[in-house]
Amino acid sequence: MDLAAPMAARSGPPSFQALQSALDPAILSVASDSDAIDDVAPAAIARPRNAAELCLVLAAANDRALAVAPRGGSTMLELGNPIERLDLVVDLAALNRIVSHNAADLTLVVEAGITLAALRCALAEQAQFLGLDAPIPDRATIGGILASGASGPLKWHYGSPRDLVIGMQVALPDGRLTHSGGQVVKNVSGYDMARLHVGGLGTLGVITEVSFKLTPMPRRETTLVARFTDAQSCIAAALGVFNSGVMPLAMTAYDAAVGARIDSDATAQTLAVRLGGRPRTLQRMENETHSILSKRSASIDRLDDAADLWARLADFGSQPDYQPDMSARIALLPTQIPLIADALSIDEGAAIVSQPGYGMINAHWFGDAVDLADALRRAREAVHHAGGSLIVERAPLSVKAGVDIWDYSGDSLAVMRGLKAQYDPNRILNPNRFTGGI
Amino acid sequence: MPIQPNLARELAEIVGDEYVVHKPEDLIVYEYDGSADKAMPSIVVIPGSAEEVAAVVRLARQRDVPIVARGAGTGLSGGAVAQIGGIVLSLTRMTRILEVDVENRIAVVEPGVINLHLTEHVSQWGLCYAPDPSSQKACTIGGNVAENSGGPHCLAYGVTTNHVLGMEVVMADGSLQWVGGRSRETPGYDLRGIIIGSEGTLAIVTKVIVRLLRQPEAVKTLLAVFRELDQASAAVSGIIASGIVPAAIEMMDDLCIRAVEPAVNAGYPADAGAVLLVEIEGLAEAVEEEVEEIENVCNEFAPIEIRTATDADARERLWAGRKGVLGALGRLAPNYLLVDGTVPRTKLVEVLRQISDLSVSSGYPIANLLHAGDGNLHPSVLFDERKPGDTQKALAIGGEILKMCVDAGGVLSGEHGIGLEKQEYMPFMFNDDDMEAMARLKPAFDTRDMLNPAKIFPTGASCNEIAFSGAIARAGAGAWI
Repeated sequence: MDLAAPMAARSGPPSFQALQSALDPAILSVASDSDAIDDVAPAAIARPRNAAELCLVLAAANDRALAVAPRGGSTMLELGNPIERLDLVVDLAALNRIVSHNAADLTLVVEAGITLAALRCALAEQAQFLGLDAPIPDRATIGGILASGASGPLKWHYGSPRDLVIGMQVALPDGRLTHSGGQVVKNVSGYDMARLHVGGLGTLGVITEVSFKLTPMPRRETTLVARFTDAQSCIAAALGVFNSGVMPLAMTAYDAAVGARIDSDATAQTLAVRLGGRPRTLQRMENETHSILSKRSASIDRLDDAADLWARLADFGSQPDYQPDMSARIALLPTQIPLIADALSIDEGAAIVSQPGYGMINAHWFGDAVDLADALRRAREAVHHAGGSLIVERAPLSVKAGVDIWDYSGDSLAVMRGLKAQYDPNRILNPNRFTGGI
Repeated sequence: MPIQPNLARELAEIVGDEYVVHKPEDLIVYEYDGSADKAMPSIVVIPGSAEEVAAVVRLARQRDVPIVARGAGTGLSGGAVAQIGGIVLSLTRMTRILEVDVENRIAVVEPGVINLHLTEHVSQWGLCYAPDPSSQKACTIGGNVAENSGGPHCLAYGVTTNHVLGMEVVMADGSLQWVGGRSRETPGYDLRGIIIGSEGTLAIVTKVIVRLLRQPEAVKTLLAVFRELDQASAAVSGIIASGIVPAAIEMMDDLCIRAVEPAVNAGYPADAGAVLLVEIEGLAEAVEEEVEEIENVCNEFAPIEIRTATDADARERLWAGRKGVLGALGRLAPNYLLVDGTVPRTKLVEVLRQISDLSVSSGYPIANLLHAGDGNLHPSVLFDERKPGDTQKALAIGGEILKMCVDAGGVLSGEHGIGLEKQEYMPFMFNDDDMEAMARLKPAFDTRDMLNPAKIFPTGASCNEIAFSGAIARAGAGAWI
């Protein structure tokens, strides 16, 4: 491997040939236009076959100050500020092994490139699962899901993705492989380093391996789907469930624009409540939920198998066949959800999915009926007024260029930049894509 | 570290004369926490507000004096001990519950609020704060944040980091910053998550936003007595495998039972080899269904008896034996060294057997208490500090037990932290690259290594060289682990 002088003083992006001399040619291929991130095309794609090869790639890139974007299933590649420069995409698809699944301990260790669907498949054999339902599970990888902070309706019951992680192995830009945490569910040994990488968009290191705590599958499940004539009744009913003794696995509200795309019902506001448990417990929860919903709803359907509905809800906004032009992830207090959902739904082309118990709205805008930059500005204003934050998950580059994607308004940017300087001093990982241009 | 001549006066200007402690006879109270380690601080300051904390930190920075933040001092790994002297900053005056947002189930509290007081306060709305370290009558929320505390009920609900949404912190440069927030997700790196459990080395917490849970509708406690520890361990595995996640699964061995029975009169049979205590919470129906199933599992392993209780008094009686163990160990030996490690749950039997072998080969009795549901072991090595060399021997046995835990795929600490107690053991679990990566965090928060220095990472001293001061757990009367 050619470890020639650093390229700090380079004049432009390196050629594929230059990369070939620096990296193992066996794992390198020419990039195509579809590999571009924010319209910036890399010179090459590296596909390391294991963590050791990944470390060599990173170390070589670091020595030459090559800009690197780690890539999983490409389902969230639009997230982030426009990338500043890009020489090399590192594709982690080959790191897709299940390292260990100790069913009796309810723990699992996987490589970061495994898809969520493959992971689920392996767990289902043992009637276990990971309480994580990020969009597009057949493509989305564990590393990508965690780095981008993606999640789905199950997070209310099972916690944020960061709460499911009990250990992590990370390749640092200097090529060192480091681990923290462990394979036990209770551990306070050393700093909890995984916290920095969950939601960190791969800007401090590349996640290579993750240990999870698992959950037994609920014995039985039922989903109640209630239709409402207006949004206020729907959210009020949801808050009724939130304040009852019922603890649903998930509770998701969606408007007519979403309904039209996922279950052909464009006439109503809908609330889906997913319940699980042993038979008598489930019956009690179903009865109680039914009675709360029936006070306000026009109709209630009961689905014993609602897997398809929940998959569509989790995927909404990320599916290739009806991808919105702009999507936002809005975190709020539960009581602020009705106000903001209302404010957002006035835009033509808007489609709103919310998790009222968790305090999150996923807003999507379809078509060109509305000025997206203006819609985003108005949405942010309303969200800030309600004390929340709005992350732009996807938007046209013209809109992205003019806004702060991450909406970080705190006082700790200096600490965050300090972390970047500690772990990635040459700024090789996803330069500029994170908050504050990190 | 000698006290700088003007420091006391300058600190008094910030917090008032009565809140600066500098006489040796008064400082002695702050010399130790619940662990075996002790060191005399140069001075103790007890600020009353976040602004005062920030001013103290700025002054300390100007004077180049290290600061150790301290809650109730119940920690068990030396986190609040001023190892190289300097200022101990006690947060025990900041005890206000600032806000309870019942509808959104969050509370904003100062760091000196006692854990149990928070739960008692919010119970009027049918809410509770889930993490319940066994020192919850004394320990503070700020200390819980520093140590990422758990508690017997963290099996079902998770530990502190799962329940803290945001914090106001004073950084090492004296600035006040908010990390995290009121909502479940906030943009940027998860500084909240990295500060929680950092043992006071990255920032000093001055306000905490916590999640509250609804109080469970029903609670049932089940106590099962077995002849053999292996049977009880197998029952634990059986319960976990059945898909039930109880609020707590606690276990104790025959030595604990022998110690506690005469003290508490829990009614354990004379031939009891292990006691299992399982608590189930939730909807009444769920509690019923799950307890039935747990009884079935226990019955597979030939229990001597099974008792259950639902009302608070009867449940407390079932817990009395478990909670009385630590206090009763004094009946068996003058001193004990409490060890804290976690292993994968399926390795409990194997590791307990190794510990038993070690007890036989070393000649030191070891009593085992376990948060068995999450594999968290608390072996107590019994010894007599008056016998020359006994303390060192007990500490060496403690180290061997931790090595066993790590070798079995476990970790150095389940809930007590690394602090001073285990810093030399870190290489059992982490290689140089791992520790170097962790150590790089510190300069991003605290460029001059001013906050709680000389903790967590190995100093290079061999374990035997460390000056331990007679390893007597100081958890105090009525404490339990």
